[in-house]
Amino acid sequence: MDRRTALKIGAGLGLAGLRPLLAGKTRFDKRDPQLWGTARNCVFINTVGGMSHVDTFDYKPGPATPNAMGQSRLSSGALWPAGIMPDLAARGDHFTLVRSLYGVERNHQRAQFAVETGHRFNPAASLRAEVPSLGSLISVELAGQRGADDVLPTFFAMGMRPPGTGMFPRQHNAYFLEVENRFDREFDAYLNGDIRTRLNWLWTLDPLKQEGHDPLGSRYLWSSAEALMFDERARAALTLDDERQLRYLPQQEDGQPYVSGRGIGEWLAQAYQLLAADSGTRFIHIGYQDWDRHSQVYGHLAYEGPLFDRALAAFFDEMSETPGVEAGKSLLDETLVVVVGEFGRTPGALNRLQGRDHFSDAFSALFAGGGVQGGRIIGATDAVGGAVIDNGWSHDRPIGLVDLSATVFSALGIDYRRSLADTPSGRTFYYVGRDSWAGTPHVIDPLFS
Amino acid sequence: MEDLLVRFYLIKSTVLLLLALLIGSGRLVPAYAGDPHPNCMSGCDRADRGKTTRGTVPKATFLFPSRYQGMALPVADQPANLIDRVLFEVQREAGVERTFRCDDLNFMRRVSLDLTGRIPNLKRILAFLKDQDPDKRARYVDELLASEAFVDRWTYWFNELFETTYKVQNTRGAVGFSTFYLREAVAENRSLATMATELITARGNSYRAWSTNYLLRAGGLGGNLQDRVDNEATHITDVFLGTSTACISCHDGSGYLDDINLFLSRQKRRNFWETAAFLTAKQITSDNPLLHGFDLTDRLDTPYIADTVDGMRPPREGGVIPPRFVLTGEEPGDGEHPAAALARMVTEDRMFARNFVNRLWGHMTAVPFVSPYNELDPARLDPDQPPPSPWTLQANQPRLMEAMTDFFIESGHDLRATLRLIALSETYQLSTDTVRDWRPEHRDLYVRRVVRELTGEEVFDQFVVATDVLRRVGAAGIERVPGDGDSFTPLSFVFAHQFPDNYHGHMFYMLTQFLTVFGVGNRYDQPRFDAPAPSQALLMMNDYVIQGRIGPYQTYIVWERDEHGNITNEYREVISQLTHLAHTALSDREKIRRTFLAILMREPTRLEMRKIEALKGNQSFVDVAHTLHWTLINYSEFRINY
Repeated sequence: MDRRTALKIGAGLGLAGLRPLLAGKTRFDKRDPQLWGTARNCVFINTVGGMSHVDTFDYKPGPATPNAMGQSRLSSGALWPAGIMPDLAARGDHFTLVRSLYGVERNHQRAQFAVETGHRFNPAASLRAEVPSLGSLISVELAGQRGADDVLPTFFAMGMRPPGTGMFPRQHNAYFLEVENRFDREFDAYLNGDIRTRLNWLWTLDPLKQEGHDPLGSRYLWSSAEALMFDERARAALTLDDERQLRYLPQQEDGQPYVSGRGIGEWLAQAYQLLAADSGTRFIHIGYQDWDRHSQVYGHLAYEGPLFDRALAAFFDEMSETPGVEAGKSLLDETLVVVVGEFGRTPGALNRLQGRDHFSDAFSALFAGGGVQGGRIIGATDAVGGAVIDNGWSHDRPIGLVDLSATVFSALGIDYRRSLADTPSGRTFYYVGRDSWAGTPHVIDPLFS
Repeated sequence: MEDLLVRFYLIKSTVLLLLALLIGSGRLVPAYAGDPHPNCMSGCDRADRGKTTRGTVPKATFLFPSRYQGMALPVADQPANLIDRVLFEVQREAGVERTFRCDDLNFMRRVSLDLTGRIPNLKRILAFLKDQDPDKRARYVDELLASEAFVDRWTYWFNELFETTYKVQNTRGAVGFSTFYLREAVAENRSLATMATELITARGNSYRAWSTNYLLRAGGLGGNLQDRVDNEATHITDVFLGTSTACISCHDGSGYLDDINLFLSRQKRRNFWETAAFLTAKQITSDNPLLHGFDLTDRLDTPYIADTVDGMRPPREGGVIPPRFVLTGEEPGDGEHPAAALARMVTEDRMFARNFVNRLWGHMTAVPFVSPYNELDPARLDPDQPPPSPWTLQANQPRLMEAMTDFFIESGHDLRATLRLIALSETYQLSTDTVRDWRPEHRDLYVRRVVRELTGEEVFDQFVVATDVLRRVGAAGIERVPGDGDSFTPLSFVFAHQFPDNYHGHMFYMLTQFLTVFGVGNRYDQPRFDAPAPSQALLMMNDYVIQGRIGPYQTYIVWERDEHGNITNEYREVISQLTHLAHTALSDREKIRRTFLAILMREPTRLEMRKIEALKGNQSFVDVAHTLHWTLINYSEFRINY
């Protein structure tokens, strides 16, 4: 019995009993080295705009680098801007840096499409429209693993909404959270009087929401929403704990939070709560915007670097302190964390606006948890970070965004080599697209082995 | 007796429902707006929501199995105009019967949403119902076409088409382009050919000559000259000709497009460069983009040189490229400015008219002749010159597309005239429900109206009018002070379709979060999408944008303006129409009826009325008004145009 057959049967029988069997690496054929299956969940942080790799994950201080950026070495030996990211400097064992990423797209829209979907941007709208976001496809693949008590959606998105579900059913769309406004605008019925009475009216009256007559296919929107509203676990998971939030924000000298409002601290605190609730959420997309710094790149890093540093460090701490589903594992052990943007920034001297422009010949990503062996560096660039000089894996080319997508799928135990021939366009859809320069996508194996 | 009637009604409804499940297929398609890059469900003829593969077509049913019981269902046999003349003949030849004409309220709601993005208020609805003039539908269409709401909606439509965004044009440029240039062009019903010419040939500063913002946006930010003009050429062929040439901006058509687009498969990358070469005569400069905007000037000494190794596209090699139009090979005339020549060639080409006809037809009927809008194949549209086998004509109704193209050209590329033609056709006025055998392939015969989902903007604006709480939602950005040239005051507005761009979400978070949850994109790197999520239902149930406008005690403040348009310290309090209705001396049944009319624009069915009376019990109408308003706004039909 193959896995999909098992999952379909499981779905029919109720998956609760099958979940332990399906959890973890054991559910995959160990003879297939391409499917690691080491992660149960994934938190995918998309640094939208393109983070400056030479000032962060592939730190190359130069004459223009302010002293405040600092300089230390991680346990992996990687040079690190400890002035703006001191907390991560102390947690270097948790993560591995991939420094041999390469791409051909230097346009945000096109390159972002690759980050979000694992496919190269196709100018033909009809073909592009078939492609789902990573999270949607993962939601499709993991649908059979949902249990009867899984009330939270499989796929959440924060910060920026990812692309849609492509040709796949719309139920696999991301639940998009605006953390700052979410609860009182979507969940809190404080103005809503007797919500139970109103729902009774709605279900009684609406002719297009009746059992057996749902011609618009929209009944599930309200039934899912109602379930979320009245489920205590969901409410708890979606109610951001004030004390937790403080842990994810840098402190000022007077002990007050460095900054309030939405941002990476709130998103990661929220991501932790969603995963710790173990109520169905498996993939969280964070659209972490504002990295497109054509001007004042160091001014931005001085502000945003500490926010990112504290948030991710706190996330690592809480995730590693929380038990996972599988005995002996932490939640971090079961959750792949990826931080990557669509490209890097021009290395070397700054431009006339004291910024860095788009650059894709070499850039970097951070991986942690979910079976990733921390404290490593994969790949290397030249002295300024302008060219990949060591691919860092067994394949004779740099690593591309398609490989990164393949790695996410593989870690989650999804066969990224799958394809569908019966598509609306008639063109074969590959789970991970083919980039002309890269050829067949590969998993970044050194992360796990 | 009443019990017997109810029992009869229930049995009849059940029978009709079962019949509906056995036959028929009502398919849901999304709103198209003016999105030049329709996402999945908007594109590729993907009307089957949730369809994963070509092989699975979901069953669908009547929307309202019991709506039309006992009613006369007139089926039009006389064509109202050229649209019907073509389609009635096509339907006759196919042996497929069209469904019946929709009722007055159905028509009024449909055409209001399609033309203005909102519904009329209760007063206008009641007047329309009372009107016995057999020509009242035509008069109502003319009323909509002359309304401010029409100007709002179609300014927004062009914002979507041209991708107006603060991100590229800066706030001032984007607002100026939208609220000054586009709004004025729509208000005066400027010929679309004139608009296209003005935009392609624009020159000046982007903060003063607002039309320059089109090329500025089309070119995008950054990149070398070749990339910039490639972007502009791609955008121009996309939005004005309906044929995206983005593919051949990177590689020849052959080997890539052989099974997609016959015309483009024959084009080489060089053909694309030649079209882009018309645009190098435009130069964009700025010393401080944020403060002073961009200057778009003419410069004739910068030819297109195909000699690059980096940028957004693969390396170029080919030396100096002379301008030649990709559709015809025509070169600029002697002394003719290249940009002016390009504008002339674009607007004189039949593809220009076909493009807008397809977009307008798709907007009004939810089923374009060709989808997506930007994938017209110029070699497969003329039914008198069919393409070589195995290619087939591309449009689902090529004769009608050509006939409407002729009409559009003869009308002088007239937006309102074309929309009026469509709205007054019998075809447009068909019901979504059908009493005949229906198969999915009948959709392309237009024998019934196809349901489409409303955009977030339409849901919001419909809600604003339904409650009639015309509360302003924004207080930042800029708008022109009437009578004071280019002076600006904070931008505030009532309707979502008056919003130039949602980029500055924090300034308008009440509205932008609503729209974001409903899938609006940012016209830059986040495309519009139409896959709903439970968050939409949560928002409709709980959001204070909703809660703060319904119920029997809603009022809002209107600040008075002086003769110069400046806001004064005087204000007046206005009572919402739902509040007013709740406190009138009408009977409770009439109040319930009018609440249905105000929100859903239809009469309650007898079953609904009976259920409401049972749920209401001994409570007064005022006691249950909030719950009734809330319930109807959360009806699924509030999210569709049918």
